[in-house]
Amino acid sequence: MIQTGLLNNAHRDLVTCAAYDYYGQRLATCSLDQRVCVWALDDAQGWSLKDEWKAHDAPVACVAWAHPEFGDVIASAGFEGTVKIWERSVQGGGGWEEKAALVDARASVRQLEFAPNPFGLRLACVSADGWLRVYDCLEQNKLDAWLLAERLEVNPLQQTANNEEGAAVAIASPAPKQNQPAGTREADGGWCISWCKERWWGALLACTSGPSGVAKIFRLSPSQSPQMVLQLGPSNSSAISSVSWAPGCGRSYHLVATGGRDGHVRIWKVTAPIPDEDDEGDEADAKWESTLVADFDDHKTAAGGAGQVGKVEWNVTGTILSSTGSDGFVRLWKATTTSGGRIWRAKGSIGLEQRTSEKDKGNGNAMEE
Amino acid sequence: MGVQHIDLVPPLVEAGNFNVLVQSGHTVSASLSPYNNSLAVHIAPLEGSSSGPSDFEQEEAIYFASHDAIPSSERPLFIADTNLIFGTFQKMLKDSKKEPPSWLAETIRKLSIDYVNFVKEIWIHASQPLSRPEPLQFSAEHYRSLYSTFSLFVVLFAPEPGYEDAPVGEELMEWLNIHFIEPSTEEGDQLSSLDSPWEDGNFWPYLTRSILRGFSKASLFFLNTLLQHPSEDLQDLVKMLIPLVETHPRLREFTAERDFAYASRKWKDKVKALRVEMDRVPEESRFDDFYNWWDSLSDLVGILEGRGEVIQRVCEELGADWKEVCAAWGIFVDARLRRQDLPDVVADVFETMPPDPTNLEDMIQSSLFSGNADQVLKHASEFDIWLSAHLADIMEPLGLLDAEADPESGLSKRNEYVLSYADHLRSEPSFWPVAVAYYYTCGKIGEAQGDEVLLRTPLQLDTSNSIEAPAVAEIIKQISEVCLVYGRESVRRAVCKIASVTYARSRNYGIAISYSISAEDWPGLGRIIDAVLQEYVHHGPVVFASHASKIAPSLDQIHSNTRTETIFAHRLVFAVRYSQIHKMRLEQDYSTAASDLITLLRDEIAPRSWWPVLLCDSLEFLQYGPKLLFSSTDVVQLLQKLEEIVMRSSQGAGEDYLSILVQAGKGGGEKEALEKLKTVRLAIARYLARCTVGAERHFV
Repeated sequence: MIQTGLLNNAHRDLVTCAAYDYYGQRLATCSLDQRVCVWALDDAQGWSLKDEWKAHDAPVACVAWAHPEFGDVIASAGFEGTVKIWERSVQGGGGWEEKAALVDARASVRQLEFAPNPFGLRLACVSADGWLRVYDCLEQNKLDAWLLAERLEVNPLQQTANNEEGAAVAIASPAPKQNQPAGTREADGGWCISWCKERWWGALLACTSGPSGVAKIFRLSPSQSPQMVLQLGPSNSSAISSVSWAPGCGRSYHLVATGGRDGHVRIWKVTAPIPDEDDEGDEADAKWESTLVADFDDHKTAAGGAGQVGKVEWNVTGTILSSTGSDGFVRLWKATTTSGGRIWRAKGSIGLEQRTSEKDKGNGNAMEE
Repeated sequence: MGVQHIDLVPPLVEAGNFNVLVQSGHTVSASLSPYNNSLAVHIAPLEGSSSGPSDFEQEEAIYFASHDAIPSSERPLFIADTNLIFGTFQKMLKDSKKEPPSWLAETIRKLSIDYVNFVKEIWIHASQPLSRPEPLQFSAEHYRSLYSTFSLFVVLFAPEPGYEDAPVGEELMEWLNIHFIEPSTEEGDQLSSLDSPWEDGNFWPYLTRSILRGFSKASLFFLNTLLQHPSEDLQDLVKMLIPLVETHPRLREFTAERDFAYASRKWKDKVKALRVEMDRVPEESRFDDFYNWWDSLSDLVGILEGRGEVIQRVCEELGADWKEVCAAWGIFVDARLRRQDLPDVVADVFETMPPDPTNLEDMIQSSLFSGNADQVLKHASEFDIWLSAHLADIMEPLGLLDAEADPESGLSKRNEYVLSYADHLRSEPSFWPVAVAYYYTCGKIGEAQGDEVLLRTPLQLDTSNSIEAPAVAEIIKQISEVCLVYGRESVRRAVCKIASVTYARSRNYGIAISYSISAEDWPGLGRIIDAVLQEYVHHGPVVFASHASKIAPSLDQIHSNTRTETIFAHRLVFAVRYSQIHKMRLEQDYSTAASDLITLLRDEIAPRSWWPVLLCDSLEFLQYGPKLLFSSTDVVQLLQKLEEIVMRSSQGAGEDYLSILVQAGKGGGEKEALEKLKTVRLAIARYLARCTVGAERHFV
């Protein structure tokens, strides 16, 4: 493990999200400073700023890249509730042009992700109003027309729950909308989505919203409304702050990781129903199954029992999971070679604290710097 | 390689103080790079804390870290060269199905020895006291360990075909003597310089070890010095011992094992006779002024007699380990020791002399002796992921590993280790061709992971319009070759599709179309043709003609590709031929241009939305003064199309017919477009009048 670079002064305020492009040669970052930056990697000179612009009139929560077969396209989500689509202009020395603004959300948009390319230029986003929205780009050549193809409330029953919490507090939203459902205090909730990376099982995505400790897997299909096929996690645990669907890469089952406010990183093995010619629709859905294959509370315990998980993410081959937490560590997890993929173990960790000689001693054998 | 940890610099807080940051609403976040095994790490707002702008402006940094050791210094060459052997091995394995079983065994041995030789070379290279531009990533000692371990693997598991069932002692001792040299030459030199070496404390240990290791020359030299020893008893015994050492039957001196066994038995009888002579020496005569020579000589004879307990005790006293006991066992205790019997012997030895659990080399080698392939790979993967991958790769065809895939992971043991190594290679992005060579030997899962790596190889296409892009970018050529070798057609198409979009966006339409045809991406091809036609709409005929001329060569490509979907071929034909009309117009070849225009309309090569545009283009030809460019049938054709447009537009299908003309009109609507067409109608009327008057002859 080795530090390979440092970008100073990347933003004027906290960076909320950093997203690599398909090739990992560019990095889009967004920040509370309302700006989006695009950095490019040069093997000789390292990272340098290519473009920077004010993207929203509010802090930017998330950025995501579209697949390169749709060109240079970024989506950004603002705390003011807007999703914007940006395209790098090929004429006149680059720069990013706003191609569309999607303003359906009634609260801050918290996460967005483009669907795998076989489904076309399609974008899913989840907002603090508890709704998941899926947009389809109507003309790939233009990028200015987007159809709200699906919208669904992730946890419909929650609207009436926790009424004593009072009015919704959408801290970042400049003017909280009146019709925001109660009980989804942003301070308690987690809003996240992750697409299934392959197309063989149809368009699937895992989504969580609000304080619920459950991640739901929805199947979208052109012919019917979205179906929930599976729930991950006990509903009584605290909110899920991040969900990540592992690239399948030839496995016969899916792996979905969740990170929670309870400080746990969980890896779920999700098995799809074996298609049966006689089965149709709902019956097949009933056979989706999940098993918890790993549950780590390192982020919690390292922070004296109060740690939360911020983000979980898989690498492109689905072999390494990264998690970050309020214990100040990035942790990496990998299935052990000798366990046939059954046992997951810590592979390494990265911290941002001052190195101490004691720590050096403790990790002396493992350090390779 | 254990759990690793690094702290990034500059640190944000003092050790153990991250909670201070958390209390002020901060946490850490990270993203994994698809480019290599690295992450971008940054401080992020803690979910649930205020997500409004921070109270004060602060400069935020992004840290980058690799979660793997990036190959450097000597390592890249090592990786690249051993990949060649690996590649040859895969090819040979495929070919082996057509060959007799012995051919495979021979091949495995040969290529295993290639690995050994290469590791030896890199060890020698790493041992040289050179000044290097960067320090070695792995020490010379590391490569020595690899060398001794891989050599041991060859001795134990890849013997010469036909000798699998031969006694292994000699080979083991030879391996030990090459890799763990004892006793040292310096000791020998020092002792040989003495007049009465037996007076030196090192004498008996040196002599014992020489005997144990089978160094007959050194042993005989020092035994001969004992002929000067003051004790006559000792001299007499040594006189008996010297010929015994000289005539110790060694396997390599025999052509048949039976002869060797017979000779060994006879020789052992002579050793027994020496023991009888030794026992006759009275107790009081067994000392010289310094030592009890008799005890030391007894140990020597004990070794030759093949007494296991003596060998084990002597080895312990000499500071030797289990390896030496096992090798000596195969020479003295059981000269006919077989490879398959070795694990039993080793298990006994381990009871008193266990391997060192803190020394990975010792753990791997002891597992090799025990024949425990799983343990070998487990320790090897901790020592060097290269070793576990390459050993596993050879172990599977040798039948040492279960080739069945684990039902959970879908991977065989071999594939698990090879994939781990391939994953590690991703830490250096330029190794992608090497990495995929390993991925693509690991079944369906390896293929899927390899595809992912191949797809994410940066194309870095030069899309500047200033220079003519090469027909096929170098990197795409490389990727396509890899796809061809491993049968990854879907990847090749996906890469071509991305290249096509990239070039189309930069208005390099010719090359974009060529890639989309290569990708068989017909909707993509359609979009590019539309984009070319849009050039006409937005930039007029001159720009359009220059872009369209570059897509003309793809027409041949499309005709030769029988799978091309007709509809897209049709549109491409239109774009090209329409651009040619403009080219001819610009070159003032009006008659051909006019006749081609009629063909496009008459044969309905032009899509309906383009008819009005073509009709407007016909204006210039209709009004051409010097000659009549259209025949009367041509003009009727024009009129018919015009009628259809006007009639269908009045029925509400204006969008289908007029959209392009409306766009090209910049700002106007359908009404303006229809107005424009009225001028065409007028021109047609005038043209017909000219034909009727007959003053001018139709050019054609």
